[in-house]
Amino acid sequence: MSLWKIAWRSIQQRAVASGLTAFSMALGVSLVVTVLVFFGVLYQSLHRGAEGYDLIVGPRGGPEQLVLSTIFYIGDPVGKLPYQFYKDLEEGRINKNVEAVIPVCLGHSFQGFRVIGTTPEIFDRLTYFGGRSYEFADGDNFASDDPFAAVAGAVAAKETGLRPGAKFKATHGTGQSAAQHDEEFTVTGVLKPTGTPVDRAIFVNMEGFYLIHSPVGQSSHRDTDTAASHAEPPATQKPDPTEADSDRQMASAEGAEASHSPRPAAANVNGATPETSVTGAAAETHTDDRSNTHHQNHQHDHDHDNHREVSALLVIVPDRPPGLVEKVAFELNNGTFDGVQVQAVVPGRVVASLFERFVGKLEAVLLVMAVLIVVVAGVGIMVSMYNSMSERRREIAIMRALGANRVTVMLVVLMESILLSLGGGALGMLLGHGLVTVLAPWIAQWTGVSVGLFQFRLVELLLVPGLIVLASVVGYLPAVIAYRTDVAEALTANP
Amino acid sequence: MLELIDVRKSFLLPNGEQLSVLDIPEFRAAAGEQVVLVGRSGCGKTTLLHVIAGISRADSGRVKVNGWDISLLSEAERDRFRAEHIGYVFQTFNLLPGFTALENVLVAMRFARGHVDKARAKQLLNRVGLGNRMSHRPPMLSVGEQQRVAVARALANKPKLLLADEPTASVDSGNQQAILDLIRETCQEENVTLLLVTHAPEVAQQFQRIEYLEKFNRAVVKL
Ligand SMILES: Nc1ncnc2c1ncn2[C@@H]1O[C@H](COP(=O)(O)OP(=O)(O)OP(=O)(O)O)[C@@H](O)[C@H]1O
Ligand SMILES: [Mg+2]
Repeated sequence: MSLWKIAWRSIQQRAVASGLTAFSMALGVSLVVTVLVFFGVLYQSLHRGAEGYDLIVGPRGGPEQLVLSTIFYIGDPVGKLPYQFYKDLEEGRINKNVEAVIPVCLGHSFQGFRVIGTTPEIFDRLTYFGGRSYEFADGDNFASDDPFAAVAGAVAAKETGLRPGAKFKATHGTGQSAAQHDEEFTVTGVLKPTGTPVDRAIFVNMEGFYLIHSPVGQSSHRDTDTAASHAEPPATQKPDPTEADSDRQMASAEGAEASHSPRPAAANVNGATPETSVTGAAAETHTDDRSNTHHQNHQHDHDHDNHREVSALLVIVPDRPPGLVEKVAFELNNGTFDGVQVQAVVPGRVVASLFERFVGKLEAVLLVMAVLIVVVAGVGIMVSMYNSMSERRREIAIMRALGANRVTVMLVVLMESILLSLGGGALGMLLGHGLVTVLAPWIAQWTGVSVGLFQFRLVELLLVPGLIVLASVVGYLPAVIAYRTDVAEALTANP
Repeated sequence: MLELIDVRKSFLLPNGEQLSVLDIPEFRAAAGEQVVLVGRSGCGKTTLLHVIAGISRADSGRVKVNGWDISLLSEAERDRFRAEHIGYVFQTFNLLPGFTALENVLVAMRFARGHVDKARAKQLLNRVGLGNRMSHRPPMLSVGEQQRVAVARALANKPKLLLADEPTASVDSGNQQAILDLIRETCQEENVTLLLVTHAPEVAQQFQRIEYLEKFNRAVVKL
């Protein structure tokens, strides 16, 4: 018969009042848990895509735009990097501490899903979410020697109906009115869901990406121009022998024109979904005309590396001893490589700052409100226990007559408060996680992160000491009343 | 065994007056003795039991129980002393309402020694005739049954002294005799000194030693 059991009996005796106060505590705690898990899921879903490689290298510009466009396929790429830079970096001519480089070419789409030009290594080499390998639900990775092979992410495949063997034509740009190309890609595989933005994209061999000929350079021309209007001038354009080409000049001119159109610059989040902003769509129209012209006039001289450009490079640093990633980033950020200047960012860090900037404060505000509700529930426990103290005088006196001292009866009351708080808290955790579990299908749909009943965030453990402290504070007043009870008087008084 | 010398106790009334309730030059009881204490209402019987049990502190004098001078003990020490050496039965509402009969006995053991002896608790409840009601809570027990549980609980820690304050005042005469017999028999079995307060002459006359509080208490409360 521990003091805890004595406190528990006292709770049972006032079952209704105890239940109600514990339930109000449960509601408060469930709110805290829901906020924590929800933002945890959000954070995780943002981070998942930024794993498996160490650096993103792209043209000079905003690091957040680079991360958004490269990892989340949101908005326009910062600009372009020459193909030669990619090759130089990959073959260790720029930095010897580079183990692998995976190119990312942006600028095409299919039914609202971004089509990304890359190499098969993106799935063979990279992992996601703490080292998981990409797996294929159907078919296989595309082969490097098949230029028109493609792999679809789980969601993209489901929504577009792409299956292995299916053929599709990519369109230039990402809007609905984007121009379609004649070259057809054949799907070789469909990925299993990963809970990362990869699910919502289609990946093609970058060789084929170049063959449909609407080089990233064009869309990125537009982007660099717009970027230039608000940020440091990109120093990424490499002197290009074909710059004299009439197409090129025209494209540049159009690009410049596009930059005059009133569209917000890097802040414009031109999503991968068909619901593109109006200004974005207008800009796409510009691009359409241009690429159509291009397509008719230009004669597929794709073998020329100088025509080839990449939007960004995902870089793996060997072994990752402490400081090496930072060292490589520093060297890339501060060097000029054959006239090319780049930015190298650690993706996790940029994602964390993005998260902090856009949702961190919201989480803090919601959390403070939820914690206040918990505190109010705690005050409710205090009021309920305080009200019960007069009818408990006799019980306390009996315990004292049986030999319990003042501290013991005080402890019993404090323990009752702690049991109510922790019991309510435990119920609240169940409610909160239950709610999250019920909402799991929608959360998975929105964020790609599947949540289970036991998706705990470590911070939640702080609730336990937090609730104990709260319970001790609110239980203090009733406990002092118990401590001060005059036994002789309470025994004489009629109950 | 029980020895009171020059014990005084007064209460401060709200109007500032001191109300002298107890002024006892001497009172003794031997080990295993059974004493009945009678006196008119308000003469200080309950107050005396509280002082002996260490629930209240005498203003002056010595209160010795089983060789311990409890007037020298601190409050916490008196609590501990009470738990280990004294059993107490009230007139009514003896039990903790949230606990079963068995738990009420166990709680007393918990406060006295920090651990419980379930076998003894069950044995005591069997002794008072409630072997089949152990898991019942007070609201499910009659007043007489509750008093029996209180007797069992008072004996739980093998006390040297049992204080009973009108233990049979709330039960009918049939039950009154049964409970009285139970208290006297168990005290005898366990060699416990008994000090029992009553208003009922038919109870008092069964004891060999009858003490009238007004006779040895010099403080006379005027009503
Ligand atoms: N806390 C107190 N403050 C002031 N007066 C008190 C207090 N407790 C008891 N008294 C007074 O002390 C006197 C003795 O009270 P006590 O309860 O000991 O009487 P009693 O002999 O047990 O009476 P009864 O037979 O009715 O139970 C009474 O006059 C009572 O009013
Ligand atoms: Mg009395």
